[in-house]
Amino acid sequence: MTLFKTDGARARWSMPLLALGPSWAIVLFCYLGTVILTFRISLTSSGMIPNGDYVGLAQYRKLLGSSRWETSFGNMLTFGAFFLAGALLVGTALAVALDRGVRGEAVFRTIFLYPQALSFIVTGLVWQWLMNPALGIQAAVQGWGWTGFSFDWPYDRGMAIYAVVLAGVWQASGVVMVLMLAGLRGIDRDIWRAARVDGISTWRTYAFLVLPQLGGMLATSVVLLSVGVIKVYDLVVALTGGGPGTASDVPAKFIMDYLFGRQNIALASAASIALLVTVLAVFVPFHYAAALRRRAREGAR
Amino acid sequence: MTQLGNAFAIAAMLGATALAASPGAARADGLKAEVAHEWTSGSEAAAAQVIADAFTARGGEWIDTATAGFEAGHAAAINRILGGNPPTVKMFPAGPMTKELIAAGLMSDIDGLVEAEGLKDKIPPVILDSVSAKGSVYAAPLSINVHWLIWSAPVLAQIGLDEPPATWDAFFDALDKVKAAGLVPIAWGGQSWQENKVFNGVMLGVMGVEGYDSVYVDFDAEAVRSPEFREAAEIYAKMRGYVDPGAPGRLWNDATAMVLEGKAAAQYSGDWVKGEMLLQGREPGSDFFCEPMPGAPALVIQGDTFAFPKKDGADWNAAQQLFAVVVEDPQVQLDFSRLKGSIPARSDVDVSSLDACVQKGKALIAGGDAAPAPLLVMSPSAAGQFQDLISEFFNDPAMSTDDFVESFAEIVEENA
Repeated sequence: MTLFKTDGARARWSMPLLALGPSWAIVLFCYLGTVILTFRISLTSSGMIPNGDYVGLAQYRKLLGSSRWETSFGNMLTFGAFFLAGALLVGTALAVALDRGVRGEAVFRTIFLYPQALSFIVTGLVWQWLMNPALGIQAAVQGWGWTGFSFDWPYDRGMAIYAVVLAGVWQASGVVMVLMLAGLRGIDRDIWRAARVDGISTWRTYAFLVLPQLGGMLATSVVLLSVGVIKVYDLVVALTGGGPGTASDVPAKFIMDYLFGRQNIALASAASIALLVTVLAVFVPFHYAAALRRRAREGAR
Repeated sequence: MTQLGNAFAIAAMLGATALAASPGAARADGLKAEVAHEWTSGSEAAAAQVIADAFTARGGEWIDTATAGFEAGHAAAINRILGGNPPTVKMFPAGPMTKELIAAGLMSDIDGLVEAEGLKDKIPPVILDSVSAKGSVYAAPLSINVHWLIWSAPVLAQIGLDEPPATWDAFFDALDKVKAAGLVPIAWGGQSWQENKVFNGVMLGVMGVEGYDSVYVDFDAEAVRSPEFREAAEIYAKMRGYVDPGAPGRLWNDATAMVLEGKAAAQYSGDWVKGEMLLQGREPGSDFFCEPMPGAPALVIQGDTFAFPKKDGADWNAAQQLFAVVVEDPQVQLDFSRLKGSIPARSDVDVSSLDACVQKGKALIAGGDAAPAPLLVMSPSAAGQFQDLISEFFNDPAMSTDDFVESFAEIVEENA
């Protein structure tokens, strides 16, 4: 400590700078730098190799005119909504169930968290087999006599993206459960005693007293899951391959296909920028609102 | 269980890689060539070994870089070429895929060999032209893949046919009978690249080589709006009624297994299907038939070539030139094709010792009457646009033929 005391003001500034410098350098050069580079490429006619032939917004026009992009984008929204809602609901329900002090909690906790340890490729393949009309659950149930039974989502255009949602929820619920369970364990036990004294039923205590205090855990879960929504790629590749046709395609797969297989890095870059702008369009107002709220709170104090 | 399955798959892959890599260890003083390719399945790895052995026998040292999956392999190789640390040799499908690399001066030519062997007269122009620029040849063509409509002879016998139908009416008539017999008419590979091939085959069957070329080579939108193209689209759409519910996403070899087991009547894909049939001990003519699409005067072809990126340091070009000599050795092409099921790229190779399908295929493409697969004549980006649309059309019964034709014409106009 005494080492830095002598040089008061400078030390106060240089230490944080020294500590944060590398990460700022990474943010500036690696993140912002590549974003700018990607944007630049998206304005060119580059194929396999980046070139300096600027074509204005032609790639964006091509992108917006592409029905495959439209499908992919819509699928991302559908997947996002159902995946978030599903994983939060199932994860919270599991956490509440475990919080009731079931016997062998550690075993169940491990079982529920286990899917998270699997690669999305494995999850995708397992669910593809389960839902295969010739091998999976449908064939088994029909074999037992219910011949009208049908469960072939990845093979059905209208349902394929929900097959991805189902597998995604199965995989991600465990993490939500662990986060929520940690939150539940942090709740003051006195609240429970008070609720019991007042004769409030268990589910009402959860719904109106306990869960509203888990805002932080909920926000963490939402952020973790949202990142998964934007990134979703391997699950789709393994489960439906984006099919039937392009029915369950997602933006990440569109980008990967054009970036590598199709050697059109300009169009892939345009798609990446479009995706980034979408994410910003959601998160910037969200952040702004949060900052406003914070300022209002501090002002009131 | 999946994990176990994956573990086996990985072990098998590693095994195949090790097998292909072994000859490299035999000689340490030869001309070193790192060979990047994607031939990892059983028959493919065995065929690659033929080249490795021949290369080693002539004083080369084969360093194997096998990647599972074409897209992953091409992406890795292209990144390495652009990054300045390329493999000595890379297997590429014939076509404009490498055009940009050639234009950027990153590839070395094999003009000396082409001249010495007179390859310009011995390799089909559509293959050789696709790897040439400004009169120089930048890749050594190894083999030609043709596409077949494979029929199961036992299934045809079951519906009272002793030879495959030759017209579209007879084709659907036969498929109706197969359906009535409780079997699957078409063993459908439900991935977009496979669906794409079927449509191209139908288009060739209806429009002939000239019509096919006017669409895919000349990018003539009027040809797309013609009644013939429309008929092709309708025939393709009609096939929706002849596949089973498990078709979406199905791999080509799973579809082939349906034909092998007598559960399905026919499959249309590349000659690797035939290779699989041969591997299972089936005989062309008695157990299965390899046919062009009904009405097709020719076959859709594509080719495998080896390309040679420029490198830093000594000896790399000597190794590349030696490799090209090995690839253009008629005996190597013959032995390779015997294992892989393809046709040697050199037309002067005597294929009488290969199977009946190869001989039939070679005769069909001999007159230069071959329809180039899209990747042979257009950029991967354009080919991908067609592929998406064709796959979507098959899988979305709500898409009308009019919409399909119009969207197809738009892609043609965009890339013209």
